[in-house]
This record gives sequence, structure tokens and C-alpha cells, in this order.
Amino acid sequence: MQTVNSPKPSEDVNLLSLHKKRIKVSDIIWRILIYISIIITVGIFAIIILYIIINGINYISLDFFTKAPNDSLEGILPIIINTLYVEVVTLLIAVPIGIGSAIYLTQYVKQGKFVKIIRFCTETLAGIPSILFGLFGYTVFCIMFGLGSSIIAGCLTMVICVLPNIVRTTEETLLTVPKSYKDGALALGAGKFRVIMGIVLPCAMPGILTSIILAVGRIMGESAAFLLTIGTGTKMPKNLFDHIFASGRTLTLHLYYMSGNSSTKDSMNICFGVATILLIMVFILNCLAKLAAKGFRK
Amino acid sequence: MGKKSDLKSKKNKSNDIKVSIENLNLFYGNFWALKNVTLDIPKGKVTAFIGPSGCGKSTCLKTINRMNDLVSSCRIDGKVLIDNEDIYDPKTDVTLLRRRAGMVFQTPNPFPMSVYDNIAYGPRIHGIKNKAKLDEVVERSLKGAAIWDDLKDKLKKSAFGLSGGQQQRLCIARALAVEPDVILMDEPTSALDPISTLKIEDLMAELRKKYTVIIVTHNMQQATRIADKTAFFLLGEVIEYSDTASMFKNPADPRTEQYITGRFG
Amino acid sequence: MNMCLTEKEKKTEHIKTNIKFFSAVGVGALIVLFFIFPYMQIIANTKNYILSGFDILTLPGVEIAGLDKTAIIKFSTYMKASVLLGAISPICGILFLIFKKFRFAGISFAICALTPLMSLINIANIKNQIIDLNISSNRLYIGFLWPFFLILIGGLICSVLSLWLRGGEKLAESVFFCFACVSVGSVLFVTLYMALSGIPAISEIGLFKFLFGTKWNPSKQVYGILPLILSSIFGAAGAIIVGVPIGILAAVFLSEVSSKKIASLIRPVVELLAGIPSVIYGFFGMLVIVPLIRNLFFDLTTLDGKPIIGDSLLAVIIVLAIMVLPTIISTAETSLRAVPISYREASLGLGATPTQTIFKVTVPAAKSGILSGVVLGVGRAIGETMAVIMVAGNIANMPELLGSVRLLTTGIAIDMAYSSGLFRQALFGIGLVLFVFIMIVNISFMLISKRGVQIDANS
Repeated sequence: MQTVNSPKPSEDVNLLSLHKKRIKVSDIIWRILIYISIIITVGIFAIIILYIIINGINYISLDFFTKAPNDSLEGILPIIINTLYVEVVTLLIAVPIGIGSAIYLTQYVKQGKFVKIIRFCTETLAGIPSILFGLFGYTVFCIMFGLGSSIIAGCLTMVICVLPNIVRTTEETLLTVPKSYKDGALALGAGKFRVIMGIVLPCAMPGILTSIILAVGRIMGESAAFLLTIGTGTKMPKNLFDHIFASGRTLTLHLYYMSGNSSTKDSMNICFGVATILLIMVFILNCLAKLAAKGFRK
Repeated sequence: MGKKSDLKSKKNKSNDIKVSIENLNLFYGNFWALKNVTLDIPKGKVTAFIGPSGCGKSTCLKTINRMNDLVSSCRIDGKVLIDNEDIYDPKTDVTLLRRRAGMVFQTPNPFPMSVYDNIAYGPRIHGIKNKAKLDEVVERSLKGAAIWDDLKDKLKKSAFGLSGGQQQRLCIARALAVEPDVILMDEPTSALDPISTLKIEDLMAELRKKYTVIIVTHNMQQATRIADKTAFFLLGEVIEYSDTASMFKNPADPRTEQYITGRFG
Repeated sequence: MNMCLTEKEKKTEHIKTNIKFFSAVGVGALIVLFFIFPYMQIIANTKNYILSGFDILTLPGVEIAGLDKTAIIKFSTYMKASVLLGAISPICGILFLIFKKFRFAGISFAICALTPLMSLINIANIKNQIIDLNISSNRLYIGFLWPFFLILIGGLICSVLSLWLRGGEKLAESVFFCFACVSVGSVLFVTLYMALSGIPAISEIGLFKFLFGTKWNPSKQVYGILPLILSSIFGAAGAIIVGVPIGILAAVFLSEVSSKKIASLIRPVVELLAGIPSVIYGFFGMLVIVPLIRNLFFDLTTLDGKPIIGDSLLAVIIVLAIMVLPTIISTAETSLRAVPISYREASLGLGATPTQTIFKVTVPAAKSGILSGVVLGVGRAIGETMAVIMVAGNIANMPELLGSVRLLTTGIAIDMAYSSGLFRQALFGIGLVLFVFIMIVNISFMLISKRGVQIDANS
């Protein structure tokens, strides 16, 4: 490290005047690097957001949201509906199973080696790339179960994708509930199930809510797991229930397919419109997660 | 060379006063933590700050090497002079100041490194790279802190493996390694057992020969055992400041008497 | 609560138990009856075939007329076993109920509820046999009739009722246990499936030829994935080399340098960056970074003389670097904040400047946390698919900074839909390689973060 104006080690520092600032060049260089890094980070963020929103905001109109694709306008209503289907069905399956297993793993099982192994497995699986889940879902749900490329196959794939995350985060929050609360309730003669429903779950609610919001965000932003499983359909649902067996792309996939179809100017506009919607949704979900976490701190 | 002799003569003029605090007021936000403190701390002696908790003694100690700068709501007016130079002057080189006024904290705080690296940290940041020189500094500092015999075989071990007393003496050695001339100790034995405390007190008696030592303690016996001069703080004010022996024998202020006889605190 | 139940309470308790018991037995009997009701429907070429569970079990197969030939479609032993199980398990359940073995009754009924799902898996087999008769798949419909759904739902109801007979607390525990089994089971199943399905291709092609073959050309049956592996590794390594220094320094800014106010303004920005869907990064890369590279290097060519089109390893690296940035910043910042103030005080007290303190004490003290953030970033970079697919160019060249590349993830994503035979198996082989990579990354992440915890515990 190069120092300028700094006392040589051999000199007696106690004889130097305090009233003379000695500046290290290396300090200044590090500072500059730190500032450059944060400017790059914030700059990239600003560029991406502004680029997409400025290009996309013009194309967004009420019709864009509320019309099915026709000759004059490429509305995205069916795609929004598909995305909603995927969110709702996936969460309906994944949330009860996820919370239930987190409750079992934290409240019923003796905390020993077995639980540690399971925790290790869920933690490793939480980091597996979604394309591998897509591969799995394609062969198991689409082909083996005969579901074909359909929303339900996409949902089942996504359930396996988000389940480890929900289990893990719920477990973490359940473990933070003070033991004294549980003991207090148990001492009053309440059964275990009652204690869990009446004391443990309400205490952990904000944390569980955060994990659900994170799952919503993950499902909305996911594309690789759907690419192989959910098909490319853009039709409006004919029937509320049957639609889950139909093929139907989500917003992210729509953006992907449209961006590859760059022959017309309009497809790019649709991309920007969809991307803007996705960004707004991410922003809203982030705010919701913040609110839930704030409730958690109280 | 001329400059050095200038400074030396300046020091001689000041009648062997190392640190002098003049009309110091310190605020944390709206809280008036130090009120008009004026103290002259002699060179080569051990000075103790005593008083009940929250009386400002640690705060006063921290003003001497400007560790209060780390607290954002802290405001200071008044003067603190080391060797007749005001350390709150805007021109002050804070890092050089902290190098000259080393500090030992209440709880031992070694870095998560080996014993050797802990001691060598200070010299390294001040530009010593030579391995032989570093070895020498480490050995000298550990000997200075009377812990060389305990640790000479453990230099490469993690500092966290040491006992609390050893960690604290390691921290003292670490402070010695940058060759300060004032050593500030903020209740250095409050987290230690009696035997470790005794060892550190012995060490302070040694340190007095080379350094100016200022120690904050809540333990009055400790002050009588080790300090040459004692300042009694109460609610941010210095109530009494005199030779330890005289203060404990016949305190001038009734509040001092009440405190040292255990009436409050 | 009064420990002694009154006479009346005892009576209602008794009635409740009886209701649960008899309804479980009744529904169970109904399920057994469903064995002879129509179970499965096959519509091929407008001809309708309806089969009951009994038919599936006893008939050798069903004769289906194709366009030019007629053949007997056989049911696999697996199919027969699942149908048989659907009849036997409720009988067992009822017997267990009568002998007051409620736990085993519950298990039997649960197995019964699973049998329809087991036969569902076999549909693909039947479908393939019929398609071999030259019946196109859009003129073919295989469906299940109402008994199928009733067995599923009825089985679940019986299972819940018989477990309930052991008391509400026990029922709750059993339900939670089932949920845990489903999630843990799915985790284990996915892991095993990914591992096993990749092996056939690798053993057929040969491990060495597969991993180190430099040509990927499925149309000529050449399956060497070295270009894909190297592209993935270079892409991730490049992203880490670019992203980590920026990420760590930005984290240092947030936790050590900036005022609280500015940090609290920038932190949500980082969180938002982490939440942006990967297709948006890909889209941005496609429209901004790719043209930028094309225009910057337009007078260069790749090693084999092709023009620079912009879709390149460089574009992949830039997009991935942007994507790993938030991961690294947030983990690094968290671990920097966890470094005790006393370390900083000690260092400053020795006369170190704030910057020296940051880089000689704070960052080294947080290094295991920062390292685990980096490993997490590596995992994200290797596993990323959609953002990369849009900027990589997807040609299986050996990696070259300005040339088009195909990565492990994009290889799977692009070819899966239309591959078959050995080609498809090879894609599973790629999946296995990717899986192993991620496992290595994840396990090292866990070891590092565990070590970090131990250090914290010591201090």
C-alpha cells in the first residue's frame, strides 16, 4: 500500500504535529471505486426501468388489458387470465402443503438428524434452476400423467418449484415463535393443534405472508419452468374449470415469444407493454412484502 | 532536526502536562453529557476517572482520541490539547491522533485473526511490511503487555481461542504495537475475573514507566491501587481532581466523600 | 374444563363417534362397489369404449379398430395392480375399522385414494399403443369417468374419518404428516428422477465422449457437450468476475460509507432489481446490449471468420453480471452489518483510517458471508435460462467472447419440445450435468455459510 505524506515507520510519530493532515492515496482510490460501484448499480437499475417504462407506457391502454387479441389490437386479456390461473391454482396447492409440512417439521417431529437431513434437501432443492423443474414437469406431468401442455401441468411443476421455498421460510418463522407462548397455552390445557392454530400460526402470520408474497412474485416472474410445460395458447377461457387443462402462456412467456417474433413493429410494442406491467407488478409485490415484514417486526 | 527540537522544547514548556482538557462541553443530541470539564493530565502517570455509571467518565475518555466522532448525534465544544495541540482543530489528522492515543476497550475485542495478525495489524496499516521488523514489533508488544510467555507458541492460533484475560492483554499489546504515548483504558477489567484483573493491574504499573495511562474504572479499590491521580465525575461534571492518596484520605467535596464511602453509585 | 363429562356429554360424544364410524364404513363399501362401475373411457375414431375396473383387471385387453388394422390394446400389469389395489384397500380399511385399528384403516383408505392417480400415470402407455394403430392423437380421447373421481375423493374422506376416530389432535397430526410427506417426497422424487433419467444417455454415448466431445450436432447423432459446459462455466465466471467487485463495493457503500438515509433509499432499488423477472433482463439485453456489442465491434470477425452479430458470450456475461448483482449486494451487506462495532472501534482506535478499517477488518470479518453470497450468485448464473436464451445466439460453438454460444440451460430449453429418442435422452444427460454443477455449488454454499455461523458463535 502506497502512502504519501505519511510518517515513515522508523520516525518517532510522537514528535510529529497533529495539525497536519496526511492523506493516503490508496484510501482515495478505494473511495472512488466504492462510489463508482454504487453509481453503476443504481445507474443500471435506472436505465432498465426507464428504458422499459418510457417505451411501454404509450402502448398501455385500457383496451390492451381488456381485449383478446384481434386484428386491430393485440390485447393481452387472455394472457393475464392465464397468469391469474397459474397463480391461484399453484398457490391453492402449494400453500396448504407447504405450511402443513412446515408445521409438522417444526412442531411435531423431534428436532434431530432426520429433520436436519430433510432441511438440507429442501435447502439444496430451493436453489435448483427452474429449467430443470421444467424438464421434470414436462416428462412427468405432460407426458407420463398425460396432461399435455396445459396450465395444470405448468401449475404442478411450479408447485414443486416453490414448495421448498415456502416450507423453508415458513419453518424459519415458526421457529422464531417464542417457546414461552406455546408453553403458556399448553399449561392452560389447550391441545397441541389448538396451540398451533391459536398461538403459533397467528404469531408467525406476517412471516408466512411474506413467504407467500415471495412465492407470488416467483410464479409471476417464472418463465423457464413454464416454457416446456404450459404451452403457448392465447385463447380466452371457454369454461372456468376446463381452462386449466388448456394450453395457455403466461405474461413472461408472452414477452419471450413476442420478442422472438420481431417482424413487426407492433410485437416490440407489446413486449414493452407486457414488460411495463411486469415491472409494476414486481414493484407492488415488493411493497406488499415490505408491509408484511413491517407487521412482523411489531 | 531543528523542527524536532522545537517540538521538544514546546513540550518541556508545558510542565509535563500531557493532555489538557479545557472547558469541554459535550452533547448527545439534547443530552448534556459533559459539563465544563477542565483537567490537566500529567505525563508518565496513571490517572483514574471514577464515578457512578452514566456520569460521563467514559465519554470524557473517548474525547481524548475522538472516538466520539463515530456517534453522529455528538456535539463538542471546548478544547482538548495533547502536547499543546488542539485535537478538535479542523486541521487535525485524526488517524495520527488515534495512533498516539491508543485505546483499550471495556470488553476484549480482538479481530477474528491469528494472535500474530492481531498485533501486526496496526504496524501494517502504518506501512511496515518487513517481516523481520514485524516479528520484532510483535515480540516487543507482547512482552510489553506481559503475555509473551503465554502466547509465544500460539502466535498462529486464532485470538478467539484465548481466555478473556489473555484477550484483554492481547488488546493492550495490540495498542502498544503502534507505539502510542497515551494509553486510554475504558474499564479494562470489568469483564474479567479477579486473577486476570490483578495481572492487568500489575501490567499498568509497568506501563506507567513509558506511557501516560488514563483509566476509567468503577472500582474504587482499583483506583487506589494503581492511580497516581484521580478525577471524580458526577452527572457530567468533574467534582474533584487531585492526587489519589489525598482524595481518598480526605476528600474536599462532601459528594466525593459520600461516593467513596459507598453512600451511592 | 370439567374433567368429568356429564351423562349428556358422554352420550353426544358416543353418537358422534358412531356417525363417523358408520359413514366411513358406508363410503368405503361404496368405493368397493365402484370396482364394477364404468371407470375409463376411450374414444378412438368416434368409437366409444367404456371399461370398468373389473374389465381392466380380467380382460386381456380391449380390441380397438384402427384405420387399416385392429389390435388388442393390452393393459400393463401396473395398471391392473393399481385397479386391484383400488378395490382391495377399501375392503382392508373397513376390516381395520371393525377391529378398531383406526390408524391402519386411515392408511388403507389413503392408499385407495392414491390408486386413481397411479392409473393416470399409465395413460401415456395406452395412448402410444393406440397411436401405433395410425389413429391421430386429435381423434383420440382417453378420459376417466365419475367413479374415478369418487374413489379419489371418497378415499380421502374415509381416511380423514377413520383417523378422526382417534381424536382431533391425532387427525391434525396425521394431516400435517401427509403434507410433510408430499413435500419431502416431491423433493426426493425430483432429485432421484433428475439423477436417474440422465444416466441412460450418458451410458449409451459414453461418459468421456459425452462430456468432452467438442461437437454438438444432434441431426448427425453427435452429442458432445463440452462447448455447452465451457460456455456455461465461462458465462458464470465472467459474470462473477464483473459482478462481484461491483457488488461488494456497493455493499460496502450501503453498510459502511453512506448515511442511513441514502442507504435506505438505495436498498429498495437493490431489492427491486432482485425481483425483476429474468425475461425482462433478457429483453433489455436483446434490445440494448446486443446491438451495442454489434456496433462496437462491427469491424471484427469471430475466429472462424463470421461477422459479429452481437449475440455473444460477452452479452451473456453482461446480462448475468447484472442479474447476480442484487444477490451479492444483499448478502454481502447483511454480513457486513453483522460485523460487531467493536472490531471497527478497535481498528480506528489504532489509528487506521475508516477506509483501511473497511478493507482490513470489516470485509475480512464478513468474508464467509460475502463468499456465500458469491456462491449463491454462481448458482444463479449457471442456472439462468430465459435471460440467456435471448442474448446468447444459441449456436453450439466453442466459447469465444464475441461469438454466439449455447449454454447447458439453453440447450435443454430450445431442443426439448421437438427432440426424441437418443436426442431427448442426451438432453436429460445435460440436465444431469447441470444438476451436478448446481449441487456442487449449493453444497459448498451450505458448508461456507455453516462455517460463518460457527465463527459468529465463537465471537
